Amino acid sequence: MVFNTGAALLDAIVLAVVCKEKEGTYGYKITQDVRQAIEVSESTLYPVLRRLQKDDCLEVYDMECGGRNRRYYKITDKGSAQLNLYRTEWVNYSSKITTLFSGGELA
Amino acid sequence: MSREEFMRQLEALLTDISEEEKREALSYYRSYFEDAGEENEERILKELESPEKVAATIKADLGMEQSPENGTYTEHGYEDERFEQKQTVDLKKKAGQGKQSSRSVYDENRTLKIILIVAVVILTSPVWGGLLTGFLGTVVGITVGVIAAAGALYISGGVLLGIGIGQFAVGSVAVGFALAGAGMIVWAIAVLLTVFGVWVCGKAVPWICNILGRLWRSIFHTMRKQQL
Repeated sequence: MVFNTGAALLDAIVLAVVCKEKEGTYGYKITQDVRQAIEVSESTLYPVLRRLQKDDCLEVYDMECGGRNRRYYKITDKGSAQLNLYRTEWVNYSSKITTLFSGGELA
Repeated sequence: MSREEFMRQLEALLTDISEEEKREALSYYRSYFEDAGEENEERILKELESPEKVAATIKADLGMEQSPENGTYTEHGYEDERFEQKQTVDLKKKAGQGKQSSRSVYDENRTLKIILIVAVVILTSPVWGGLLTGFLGTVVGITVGVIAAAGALYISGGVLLGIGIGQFAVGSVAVGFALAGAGMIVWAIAVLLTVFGVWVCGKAVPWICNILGRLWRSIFHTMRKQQL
């Protein structure tokens, strides 16, 4: 990957991935889903998830699955609001850069 | 390294963070391995690189909570430009200090050398002072002598010529010619001495100065070379 993914974008991607699962999702699956979009190492996401959890953007709950507890992450209202903000910002940001790259004039 | 070994090492590396953070992190990675299944275990262990790296990532996040604007998460993990900059600043500082200290050693050396040279010059002053005074005295003496001799010869030549002309007037032509001729010869010698004197002042003195200057420069040049 040529472009660095900053903290905010990484947060936004993780929120978007978790948002898709209404019942919540778990660490390993989140990593695999994020990897469909960007290259991340296996150790990248734990601190991101932990931070989003502390910021009340994600809530966690444990659910029994196959004889053991699995930790699920689910987006909160605050997380949804944050994700909407990121989406708006992203459209703004990416469309300007796309216009610039394609040789167009910025309004 | 097996998954159990990895978890054991990670736990040991996380002893300096709070119990809650440690439990959270360990349970995340434990279930990560379980969800990935045994077939992915080797690949994940390889991608996680080492328990040290994972522990560093976890701790970096905890450190970041106190100063949220400094660090960045990228797809390569946690990156903090502040620390990188600090490091370069430190390196520069160190390099600067190194230069400074070597320069001060160099300065000390130079000061010591100058003191030594001055001491030697003072101690040997009777020898070179005598030589220099003698040399200067000789040069000044010769110059003054030449000027005085030339002056004297001009005067005596003039006197002889005057007496010779006087002899013409009195009538003794032969004595007159002889004296006038002698006076002219003396003048000629005076002119030669003048030319010599002018040559000495115009050429020889600057030449000697030049030689001395070069000598001086070459001494200092070799000294500087030795210092470097």
